[in-house]
Amino acid sequence: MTFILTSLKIVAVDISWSIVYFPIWWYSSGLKMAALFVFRKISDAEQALAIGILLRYLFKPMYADYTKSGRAISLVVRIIHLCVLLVLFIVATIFYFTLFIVWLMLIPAVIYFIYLNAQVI
Amino acid sequence: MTETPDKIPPLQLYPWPDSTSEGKGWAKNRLLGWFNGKVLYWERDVDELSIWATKLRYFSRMTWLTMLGLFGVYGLLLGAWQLFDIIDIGFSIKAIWEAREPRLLFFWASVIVDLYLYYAVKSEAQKKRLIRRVKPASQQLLKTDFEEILKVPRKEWIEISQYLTAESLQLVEQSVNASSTLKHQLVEPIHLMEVIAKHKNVRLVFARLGVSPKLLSEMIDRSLKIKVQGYRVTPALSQSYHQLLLGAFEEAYLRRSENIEVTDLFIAIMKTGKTAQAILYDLDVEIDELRNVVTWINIQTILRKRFRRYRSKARFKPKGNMNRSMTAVATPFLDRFSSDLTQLAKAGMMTFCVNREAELESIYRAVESDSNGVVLVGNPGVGRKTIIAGLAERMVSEDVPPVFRDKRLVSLSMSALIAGAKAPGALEERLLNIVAEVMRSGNIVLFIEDIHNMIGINTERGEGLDLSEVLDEFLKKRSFIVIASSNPLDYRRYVENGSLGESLHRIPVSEMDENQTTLVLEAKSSEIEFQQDVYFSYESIAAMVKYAKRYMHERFFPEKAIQLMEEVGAFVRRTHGKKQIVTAEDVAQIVSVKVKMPITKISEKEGAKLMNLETRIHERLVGQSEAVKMVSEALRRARAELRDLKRPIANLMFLGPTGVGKTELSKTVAEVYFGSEEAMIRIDMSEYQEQKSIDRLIGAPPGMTRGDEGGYLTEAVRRTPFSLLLLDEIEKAHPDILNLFLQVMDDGRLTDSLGRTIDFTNVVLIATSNAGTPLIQKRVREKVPIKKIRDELINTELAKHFRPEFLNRFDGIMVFKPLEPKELFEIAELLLNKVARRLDSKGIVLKATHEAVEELVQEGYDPAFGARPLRRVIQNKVDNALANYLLTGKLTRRDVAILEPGGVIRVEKAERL
Repeated sequence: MTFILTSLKIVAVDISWSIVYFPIWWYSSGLKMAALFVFRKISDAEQALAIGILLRYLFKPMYADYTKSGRAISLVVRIIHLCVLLVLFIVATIFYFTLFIVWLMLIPAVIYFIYLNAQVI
Repeated sequence: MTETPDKIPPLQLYPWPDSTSEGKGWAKNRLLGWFNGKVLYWERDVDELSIWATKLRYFSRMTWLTMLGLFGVYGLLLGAWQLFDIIDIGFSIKAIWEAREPRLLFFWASVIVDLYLYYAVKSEAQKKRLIRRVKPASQQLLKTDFEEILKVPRKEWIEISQYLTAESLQLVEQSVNASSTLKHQLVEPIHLMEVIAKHKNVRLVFARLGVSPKLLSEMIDRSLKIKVQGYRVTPALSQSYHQLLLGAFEEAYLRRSENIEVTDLFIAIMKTGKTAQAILYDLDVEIDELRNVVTWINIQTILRKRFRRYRSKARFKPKGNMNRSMTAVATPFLDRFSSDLTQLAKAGMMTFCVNREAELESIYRAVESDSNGVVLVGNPGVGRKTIIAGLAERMVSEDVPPVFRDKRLVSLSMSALIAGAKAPGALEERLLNIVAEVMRSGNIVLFIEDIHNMIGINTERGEGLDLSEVLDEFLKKRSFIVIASSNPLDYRRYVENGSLGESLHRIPVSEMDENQTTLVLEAKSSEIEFQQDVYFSYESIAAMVKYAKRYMHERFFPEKAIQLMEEVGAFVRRTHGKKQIVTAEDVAQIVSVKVKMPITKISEKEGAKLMNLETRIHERLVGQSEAVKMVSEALRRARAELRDLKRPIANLMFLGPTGVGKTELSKTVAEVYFGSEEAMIRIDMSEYQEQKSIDRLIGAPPGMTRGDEGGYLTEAVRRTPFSLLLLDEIEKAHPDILNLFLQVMDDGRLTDSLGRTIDFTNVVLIATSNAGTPLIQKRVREKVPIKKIRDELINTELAKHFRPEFLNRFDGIMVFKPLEPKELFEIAELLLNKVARRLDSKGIVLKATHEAVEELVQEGYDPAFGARPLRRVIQNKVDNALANYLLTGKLTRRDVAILEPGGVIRVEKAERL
């Protein structure tokens, strides 16, 4: 009998601790995890779009065309290219950043909605 | 994978004294470990109660989470229902925002629950502790006693149970249960052995070692039964069990794992458990073998991880000729003469490269410093192409220094370049065009295989610049990166002193040693296993490396071993079928066929054959029983591998008059041991009477006429290392040549004029001589025993021709007696049998009367020439007569010819049909 009681006590302590720790985790380890995720995704986007490479070679002509006109055309094309890429990159960054904000807001928001709907009862 | 292991002193153990504050019961059997500046200990209780508590915790958690999960799903359904209702009324954001419903209360509550579930799973995964690598501690002092260990600050203490994977921990718990079921008082390593032997990885280890799982579990059961049973208690961990746990941490740390895996526990059992060690000993498994197999299994996991990482990075590499910065140009001309290795690597069509970090590192270093390019110099088969494949792969995943990034590795094909370039200057123009494209594009690393082929090639028939000089001009300007390959011989001859030799940084690629080759084979194994659907055992891999080293001198590691592996895999699949285990015996069979020498285990049949070797030799050879016995003994020793592996199989000297069977015995040995009479290299030493003739044996020095051909002896042995080397009339050779053989007989090798070391350890060396023949004949007539004759010969006649150290090198000096009439009679019969066999193919039977044979012997007997005149007599009397009969049609098919005295042949005509 005592054995069962002890067991129940262990289970109860385990579960209540995990409930208490939930919000703490969400804004500590969980937050760190979310931030790392967003950072990784943004750097992946940079890799895929190759913005860094483009910046480095901005003044180097495309297709090894070292004539004056070649350089001029190349610079224009590269700048347009860069603009397009930057827009894409900013969209991606905003998207992932929003995800991070959602993570921050999620718990208070849900609690607020619970509060709102609880008033109906 | 070949990082130098950290110099970490082995784990030290200290028993926890009962008298400490921790209390008497608790400290029992516990140990503290001192390892790399950390104190290791095991605190976790693994008695039945705590196991039960762990289980309870696990199940209650599972139930709790499942219940919440169900609620979460229910809430989501309610939410969806609400959404449909709103859509029915007319969908608008405002409607959703303003909806207030009990249903929505449940929905939002369920969202919180879902978030909680996410947290529960994630945080549990984060809890897992990983072994962190620390620099080998500076306080590597050896702690002398327990008190000193206690003084180590608490933050350096590691409770190791947290580092066990869930699987490993479960096995530890199971071992406690196993011990308790058997009513044992202590949990010993053998209990863990019992449960771990059923784990899939451990079973894989034993399968690779060729140990039957049934046999293993029987042995474990038997050893468990020996232990004393008591009344049932909660068993405590024994001291050796604690030692095992700490040892497993050491094992995991040393192999750079983040967790203590099942295989670490397994190795630790083998290190500490006395019973487990005894079982291994009985199964003929060494601890090192065990560790190698575990490494093998780990290699495959590492390779899989590496491959996944590679694939995900390869996505970013552009497909076509263009680089990511778009500065490159199309290279249509170059493309005609080349293939793009980075594209092949991106498509996964290059060999996977293992264990070549050092060479890649030196390529990077050379290119990053100030060289214009590198040349990989190594023998064919040492893995130059694999290194290039490895470079291509790393360039695809951009795991390379900046100079190699965003570039293509393009292999220039020399044959395509040269083909069809007939017009004067066409070849040079092609190369210039290619170089121009490479320079303009700027994203190309050029790989030129066998660059020595470029030297001396031009379209102007030897005048003007050759291709290498054209290329070198651009290399000197450092216009682009060139990676080339060559072999040591051609490099030394053509490249080193030329202009290319100056511009290209030489990177030697040396042959792998046995350990590295083993690793390569282990990495390769899964590919071949997949193709052929067979499994390699560890012993088969070890055998491949061993035999390739011992018997295939002509080629290099690792290629020769890899090729052997492919052949053996295909062979086993063809002969034994799919899903079979490749054993060392299979490898031996293939190698035996390849090198034409028996190396498989001696079968019972062959054993009997070897034991009756004397009888078999006497079927061909009459008399000389002492010599036959000595030769047979030498061959038996060799076949049972009891011989010295660093010398020839046997060095023998046959002495005696001509025509008594010296050469015949040699031929017989070649046939019996090497499978055919053809496996004999015969050198007539009377042709080597001058000192100069050494050149003919081992080749003339480089630069002389025929300087790069190699000598007659060395070339013959190089081509057929498994043969009988017969040196006829050795006493006639020049003393300097005898000195040459002194080395062969002693070290089993000889260096030829090209500097190659020729291996003589698999030859049977037989020297014959008829020095001292008159003495032998005289003493035999006086009926002196053979042994005495031999001793007398060595001291008198032989001493005139040979130095004592030369005679000492022989394993046996055998004296062949002159033949007696009785023996000659047998030889005559043997020779007549040969004639009969030839007639047999014409459908004619030959018989000879006793008197006729006697007559032949009498006519053919000449004490000075042995049996040789007999052959002539038979030729004259028998063969000639038979030929006449055949030509005149007196002998036809199915007739019987009977030889009678006086050289008469009587024909018994067959009945006409």
